[in-house]
Amino acid sequence: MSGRTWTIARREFLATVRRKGFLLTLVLMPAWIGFAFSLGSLPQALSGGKRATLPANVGVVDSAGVLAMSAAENDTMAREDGGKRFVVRAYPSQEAARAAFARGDITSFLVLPADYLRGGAVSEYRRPGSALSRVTGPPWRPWLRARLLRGRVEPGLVARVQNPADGPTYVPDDRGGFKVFRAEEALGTFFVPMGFGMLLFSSIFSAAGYLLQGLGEEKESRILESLLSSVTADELMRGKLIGLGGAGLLLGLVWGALGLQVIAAMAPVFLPPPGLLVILFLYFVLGYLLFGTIALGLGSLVSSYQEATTVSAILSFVAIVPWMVTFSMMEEGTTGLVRGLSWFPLSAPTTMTMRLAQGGVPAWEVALSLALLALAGWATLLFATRLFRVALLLYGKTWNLPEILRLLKSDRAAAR
Amino acid sequence: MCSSDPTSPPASEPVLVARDVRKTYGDFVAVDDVSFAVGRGEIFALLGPNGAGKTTFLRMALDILKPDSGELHVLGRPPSPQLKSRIGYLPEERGLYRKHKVRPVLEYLAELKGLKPAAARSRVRALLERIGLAEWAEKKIGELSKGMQQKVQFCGAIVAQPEILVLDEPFSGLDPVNTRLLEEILEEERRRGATVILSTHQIAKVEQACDRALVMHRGRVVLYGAVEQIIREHSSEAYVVRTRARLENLPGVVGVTRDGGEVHAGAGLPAAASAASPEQRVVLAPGADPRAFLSALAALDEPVESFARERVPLEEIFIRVVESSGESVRDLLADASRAELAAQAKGAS
Repeated sequence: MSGRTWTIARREFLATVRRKGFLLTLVLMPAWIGFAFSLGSLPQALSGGKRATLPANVGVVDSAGVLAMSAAENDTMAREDGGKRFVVRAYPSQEAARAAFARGDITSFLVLPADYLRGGAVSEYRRPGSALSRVTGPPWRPWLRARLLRGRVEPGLVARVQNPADGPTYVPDDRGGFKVFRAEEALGTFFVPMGFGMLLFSSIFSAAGYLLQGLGEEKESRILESLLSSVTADELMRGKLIGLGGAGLLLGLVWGALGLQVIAAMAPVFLPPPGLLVILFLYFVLGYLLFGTIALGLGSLVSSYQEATTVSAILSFVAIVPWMVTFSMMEEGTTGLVRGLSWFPLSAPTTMTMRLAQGGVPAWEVALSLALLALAGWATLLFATRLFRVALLLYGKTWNLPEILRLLKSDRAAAR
Repeated sequence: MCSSDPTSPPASEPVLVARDVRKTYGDFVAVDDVSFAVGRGEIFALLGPNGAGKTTFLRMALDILKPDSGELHVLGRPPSPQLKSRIGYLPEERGLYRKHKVRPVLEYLAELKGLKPAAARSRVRALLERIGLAEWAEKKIGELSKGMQQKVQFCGAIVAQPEILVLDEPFSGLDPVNTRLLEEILEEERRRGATVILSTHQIAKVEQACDRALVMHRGRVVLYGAVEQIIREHSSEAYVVRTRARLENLPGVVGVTRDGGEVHAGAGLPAAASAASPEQRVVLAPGADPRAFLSALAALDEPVESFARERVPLEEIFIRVVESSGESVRDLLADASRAELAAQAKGAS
């Protein structure tokens, strides 16, 4: 690699990392994610942590007479996840319950009609809650189940009806055996792969975006001919790839280090092993090689910064779709589609990273995925280098595929 | 055409030799079997209307493009990446990093030419001082006037003290003061030993500054040789004499033009009769000895204010030669001027 390549790489790296936009991305992205997470726990923090323990009152109108609740009785119900608790009060009529609701004595009430046993209809009266509370389901169902059985069957059976199975779940471990599945790991297998995938996606596409936009800016300012009188197109391309890859890697390292700090502080069990970090680094390098060279090839065809920004957005969109598909299918385990996406070069960096973070990926699959990615990166590099060489000094042209192929053919003829 | 054969070599060791160089874009022939040579230390003009193939040729010499066929040698070998640091280039397509400051951009260009960072810093400092931009060194290029940007780009071309300096329209957009400054610096570069290849539409400037010239048209060489030789060969046996004497009957004279009209020789008028205007154009017969005419002129009673061989401007020769290939050069030059004005307007906006 020539000294000129390194001069270009150094200049591209420094010019990019000194940009206000880069510094804002570097600092603001983790700050924004931290802020978004902290927002969820803000109400609890504001109430000094007491809010969740304060019971809200729920009224019940038992017209069917199946709950055996006296007016003086205060029962309690809780969410199945052991979260929020409610005090349950019985009301003799719907009117009485409505009045209590209007006064604010209760936050919601249930009405069991006289023919409840035959039809099973229960009406719930409440203020509109958040979308999440609706999705998670009303907390009164398990309470109602227990209350219907109370006094009619033995308490042990009530407990089993409520919770018929309470034992360890086993999942495959990395050694081919099984390990106990912990509930908190469910959260980890959701967020950690997502985090790794997002990290890799963001750092690769930030760098590829800088490449495209930088090239668009240079084409717009017409400086390329001056540069090409001092360096070859290949040196220019390699210098840009290295310099802006360094900027993308810096983003990934800073965000990754911050993420690891947070995991270490909050849930050390999810800290990835060093081997995974090495593989992650390989996926960054090869993924960037692929998308960076695509960006440079396309960038040589644009005429302005604005065009480059548009192409950059399209490129990101093309790459994020498989990632989102994979993300939505992760809960179903590794399906054939997910496995295929983790081998396919354009989606491999993000998809395989997510699978690796979940664990249980055979080594041969990782090797195959990396090999295919490297092969695609190399082929794209060859193609993009030729395109870069012939199209760099052509301005203001709208390209179609036959024209591009003709251009490449003329380059091959001249090179002979 | 004077010559298009590199066997008519420059006086000094050649630093650029082209033999039958050809470059096509699809069916379009941009450079058509071009042959010529440029000698070390020359100021050489590469002329031609827009689309003549000059820029394509220069890009091949700079190893930005590869020729389809022919032989091209720069500094003794085919163009290669290793030679790039020995050639400075000011392209017609002006461009700099507008959002970046003058000094770092020039230092970057110097480092790309192989200067170490410390050497680049000191060279850029000296150059900005010389060209009168020292106080603008830390300004963003986009904040400078068009003329200043032009000077910054010129600095970028000479920053590494190249052996060959290729300048495409270096004076475009410059005021007379800065034009003079650039001419002085070019002369300094030549004294340092650099060869200057100048591509321009300002043909008067070529006549004044260049040793030799080549005119291209539609990819072909249509004129090539020393500027003085080209002018001499395209000038007729005509002399411009400032005197009130009548010259029609002097030896060898076949025609005289004065007071806006032509007077034929042998009209039998007295030799010393006064003319209304002292400037007369005298055409001698082919093979006539101008010294005999000059002796007879000196023997007249009327004083002679000046006597000189008529000099056809290079621009006129350029127009004649290119028009003889069936194209209206005035239209081509008008197109070139319009294109330049449009480019300037775009740059200014």
